[in-house]
Amino acid sequence: MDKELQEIIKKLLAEKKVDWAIGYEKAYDELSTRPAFVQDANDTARLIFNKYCINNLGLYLTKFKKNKLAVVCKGCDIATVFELIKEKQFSRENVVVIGVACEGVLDKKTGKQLEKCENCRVKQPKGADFTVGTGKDSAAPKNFLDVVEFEKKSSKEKAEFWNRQFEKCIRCYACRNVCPVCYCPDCFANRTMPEYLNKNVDAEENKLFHMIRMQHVFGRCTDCKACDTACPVNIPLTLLTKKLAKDAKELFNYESGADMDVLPPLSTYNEADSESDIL
Amino acid sequence: MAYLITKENIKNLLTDLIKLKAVFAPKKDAEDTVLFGKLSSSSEWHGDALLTHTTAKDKVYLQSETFFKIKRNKSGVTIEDGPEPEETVIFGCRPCDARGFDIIGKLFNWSNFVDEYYTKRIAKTTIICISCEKPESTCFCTSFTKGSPVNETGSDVLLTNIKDGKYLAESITDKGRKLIGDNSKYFTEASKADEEAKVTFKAEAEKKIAKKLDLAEVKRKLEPAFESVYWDTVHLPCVKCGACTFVCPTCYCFDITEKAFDNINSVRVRSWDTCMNELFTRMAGGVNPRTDTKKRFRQRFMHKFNYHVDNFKEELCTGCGRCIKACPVSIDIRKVIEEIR
Repeated sequence: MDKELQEIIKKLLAEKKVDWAIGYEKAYDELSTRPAFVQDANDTARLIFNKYCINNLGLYLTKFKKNKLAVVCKGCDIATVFELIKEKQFSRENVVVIGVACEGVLDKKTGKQLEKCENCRVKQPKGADFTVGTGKDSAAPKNFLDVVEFEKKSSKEKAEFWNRQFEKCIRCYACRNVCPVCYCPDCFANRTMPEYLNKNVDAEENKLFHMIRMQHVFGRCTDCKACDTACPVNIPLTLLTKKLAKDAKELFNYESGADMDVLPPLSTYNEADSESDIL
Repeated sequence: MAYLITKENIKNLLTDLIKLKAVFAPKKDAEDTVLFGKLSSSSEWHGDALLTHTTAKDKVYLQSETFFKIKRNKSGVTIEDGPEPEETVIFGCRPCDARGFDIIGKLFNWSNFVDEYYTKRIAKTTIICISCEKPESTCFCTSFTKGSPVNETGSDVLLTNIKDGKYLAESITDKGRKLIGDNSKYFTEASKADEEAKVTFKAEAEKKIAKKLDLAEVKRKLEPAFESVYWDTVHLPCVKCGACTFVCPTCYCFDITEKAFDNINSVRVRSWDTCMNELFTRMAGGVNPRTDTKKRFRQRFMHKFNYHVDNFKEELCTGCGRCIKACPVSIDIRKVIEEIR
């Protein structure tokens, strides 16, 4: 599989169809991989794909706007690429999507398979320009059982849970910076005039940051879990992003990155739209 | 002077200390995160993890330290100092964490300048460190002159598990001697053989650390590498979050900000800052000498292994490897500095 992947990229680079290819390479031990940037057709031998390739490389699209790119994408990462193209952050002609069949990826910190991989329906990537390998999609669709379970808790229990999480937060902004749809060049958290968020790190201020970020990515977040796996103190952000996905589905029948022709729910207006979020 | 203490008695010692002081030790939570937390009982101590997810640095050099509060009341405006530090024990940190306190302690007492906030807190803190039995693949403390899984720099008491459930306890400083003296019922005197067992322990532990860097060579290569094309590509995977700097036992940069509640009531706070953040060098008026993400990435390595060595004759790194593990894109600090050209 790696060989096939390397050959495709080698050809793209040699024929000057792309300026950069972004894939994965081995990192510091057997269980870790890191994004690899390849510019030279003779430098493709280090590219690999395995179950430790956890990063969503769609992230780098907005950072290389002026270049033609080839990006190695798992089925789930393709949703991100499409979402960014839909938001006019990148044009389709400038990106070659190399889909890789995936059997699920493991979190390097816990060694466990990500929850999103259990009921994954894009193990065989869809919509890619090239596809490497074959994968078997899950029969069952994505479920929101854990979110439903959490929603049943009382307000007090929910507040206690999240206060404990946000007390851990060190505001390193790893969650924001690995988020492919958090591409604002000047994030509200970095603004000083006016200052939306104080540098003081405490549970209250941290909560404000996470809540505003979640609002900003609603209907755009593809629930890729990049923020969740990046968190150095294991805050289960997956519960929040999954809730966003659930709400988008239930309130607007919208799934991020799924359909290229449908605009994100907050970018359009329809009189019949749900108003359940208006107090 | 060396003593012996059993694991059982360590727990008894913790129980006694908790009654007198704020004791911080590795604690595991429901998400399997191991952080230094305040113990309310000795059973909460989680000693199995080699490294906590973040360091113990934030117990002395707080992530957000309140300098003072300005308050308006009936009699006018008053200025109130931040809270006074309490007597603290940091228990169960590792030699790399403890050495971090030694390194930033020098910075906060550089030349004639004394940082009173840090100095006041460290004076009230006793550090009980535990030697590493099983270093991990990300550890590289032996690359440093003072670095070792049994190094005592920065610790007040160093515990080494020399045989099943028995720890060799060495008092390193006056604070350490006082702690052992005050709790002498839990300690017995160590024999020559016990002290020799530590030598074997050290050799065994050091064998497990595969990576050893030539830091003199790194410094030599870094000096002329400021404009090197190496930085143009090596920084590309980096997402410029601050995870590496915030989990680091030696990163000390900060920013001082004010949080105003109205036009008088306000609070002045010092918070950690990170050179990875664009705001770090942005000046009033919007000029920023380090706009380019490459420059910010380069700064981290240049500071740790070049500038700091010029000023303090030691690297701003203890080889704990936390930045490697915390990095969302698995950037390896060892690889970056080794491959400089």
